[in-house]
Amino acid sequence: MKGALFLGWRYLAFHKFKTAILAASITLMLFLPAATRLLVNDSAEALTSRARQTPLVMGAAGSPLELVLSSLYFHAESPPAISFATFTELRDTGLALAIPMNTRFHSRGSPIVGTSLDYFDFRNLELAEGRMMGMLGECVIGARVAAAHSIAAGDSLVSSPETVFDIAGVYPLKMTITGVLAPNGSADDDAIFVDYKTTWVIQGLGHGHQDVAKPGAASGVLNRSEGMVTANASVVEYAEITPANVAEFHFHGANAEFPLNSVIMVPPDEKNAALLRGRYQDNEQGLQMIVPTSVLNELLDTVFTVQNYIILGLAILSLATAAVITLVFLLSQQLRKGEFHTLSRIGASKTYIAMLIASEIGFVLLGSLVLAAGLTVVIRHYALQILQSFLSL
Amino acid sequence: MREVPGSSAMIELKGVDFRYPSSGGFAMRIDEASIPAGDCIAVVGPSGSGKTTLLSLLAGILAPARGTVVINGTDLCSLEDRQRRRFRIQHIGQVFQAFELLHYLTVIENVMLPHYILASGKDQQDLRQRALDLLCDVGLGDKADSRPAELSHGEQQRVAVCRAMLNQPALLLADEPTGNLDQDNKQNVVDLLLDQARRNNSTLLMVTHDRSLLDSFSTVLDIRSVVLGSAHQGTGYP
Repeated sequence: MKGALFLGWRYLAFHKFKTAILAASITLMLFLPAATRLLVNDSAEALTSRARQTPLVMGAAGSPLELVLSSLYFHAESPPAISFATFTELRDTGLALAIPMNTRFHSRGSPIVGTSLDYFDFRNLELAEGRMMGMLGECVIGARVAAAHSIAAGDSLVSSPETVFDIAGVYPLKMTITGVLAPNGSADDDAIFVDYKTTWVIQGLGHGHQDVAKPGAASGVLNRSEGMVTANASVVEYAEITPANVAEFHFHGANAEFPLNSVIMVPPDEKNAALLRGRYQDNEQGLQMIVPTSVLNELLDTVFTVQNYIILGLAILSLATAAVITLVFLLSQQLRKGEFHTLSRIGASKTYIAMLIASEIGFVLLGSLVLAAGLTVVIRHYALQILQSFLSL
Repeated sequence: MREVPGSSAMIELKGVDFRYPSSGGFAMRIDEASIPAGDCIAVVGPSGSGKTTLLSLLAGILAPARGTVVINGTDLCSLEDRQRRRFRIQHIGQVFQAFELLHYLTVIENVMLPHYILASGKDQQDLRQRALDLLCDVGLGDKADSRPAELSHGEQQRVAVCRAMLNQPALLLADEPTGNLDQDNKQNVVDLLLDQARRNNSTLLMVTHDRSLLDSFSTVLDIRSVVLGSAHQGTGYP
């Protein structure tokens, strides 16, 4: 037995290239279905764990999935806006903690999330350095944003225009970073958090400019009438909110009409949750109250179906590969007939020769199994990072 | 294993009747033959006369339908296949025409091949040392870790001789070991076989077609003098 193992090992060691190809093929046959299942399961878990932490989301009627992806993962196109009045109405019901969310804008490819300080408590987000935003125009950034751009508290970020030619709409706003969040392995690591009113400034609903009542702006004033000043473009408009000019910032129009993407609702118990859902079940104001886990379960049903098709495809591919490997192996045995004949003439039994062949198969299978297991462990270890880098969950 | 009492000959054949099972296969009959221990014999005869078959019968690779083949006092015909193989590895060394070294083993591993087939229970280091000593004896000590493909034909056959001698066999069977060699190497290999056989007090039977090598042997055996009848099946014995 020991001798057959030794000869089998020496044969494989001598034919390194052939052995490596065989082992790699079998490794892939074992690893790919396992890795697919692992990644799908882990991504499902990552998706649903954040959804489980988010009891209810209110948004405009439309795609529930888009609403969830936008509110929880800051992905996808912004869903249709709801008014700030809707938020105040929800807040005033007293049935749940209401957290406003406005995720329409970006800076350096990262989403700008306009929200309130309640969001940080709700998600258990902690600061790694600096302080929370305390003023219009200040922001707190996620750990991966800080790492990716090598920025920290005290630096600044400029919001991106929505399109290159968006001259009249969204103005770039320079935002001061007041703090960096500790990493928590979620979409929050990739986000830039501001007060929701700051997103209104970015949108152009609020702005700050030189006080036209002061003498310095006199040359820019075209007309003064009761309660109305008309000025030309020479009046200086601020692109950054600082303690010195924050008083000059103001909003035009009624706040109640200003937009939000959604409102995260955190009821204290099931009863309040049921009351809230009942209240907005057949809403005729173009609103919807969704349970993120339900929405994601529907998505995951589709994902698992696709996964099963992929695994079926891989299984068929594996069968074909196994057939080719068997053919190669049988041809190889045919070529080795002379060698087996020599062994037999010297004194080896048929059992010994069978053991020699079995040891070669065993070594290749064992090596492949170890490799596949190793790769699976590596994938398992880095699955969350891989998923986060691809999906920003 | 059946020991034959009072037997002093290395090889004793009695009433051996052998035929290959396939139709039209070769058949052979030997009434009686005996070869004393320590003899070095060249076996000659025309092609198809049964030289290789005789060696296979003596090695226990083939079993006769009738009769007895006694090697060193043991009747091979009384042994089970497994016992016959064990006996072959322990007591009989074989050298083949085409060397038949395993390409994926080193030279020294090829010499130790009988040990890998049948763990002898001997110390691995001792066996390795013996293999190395054998290689040094034939001038290949510095090529112990080479592969067979890196050696010349003459060197490969010397390795094959070392492999046959590893277990210090009582009987050394060589089936046209010089068939693939040039004249110089032929004589060298024959000298090597004779030298190893004498050192080990082994009985040597070497099949050859080359009459120029016969002078080196004490006895030349024409197979036709031993085999009473050899014929292709169907024609019967004369």
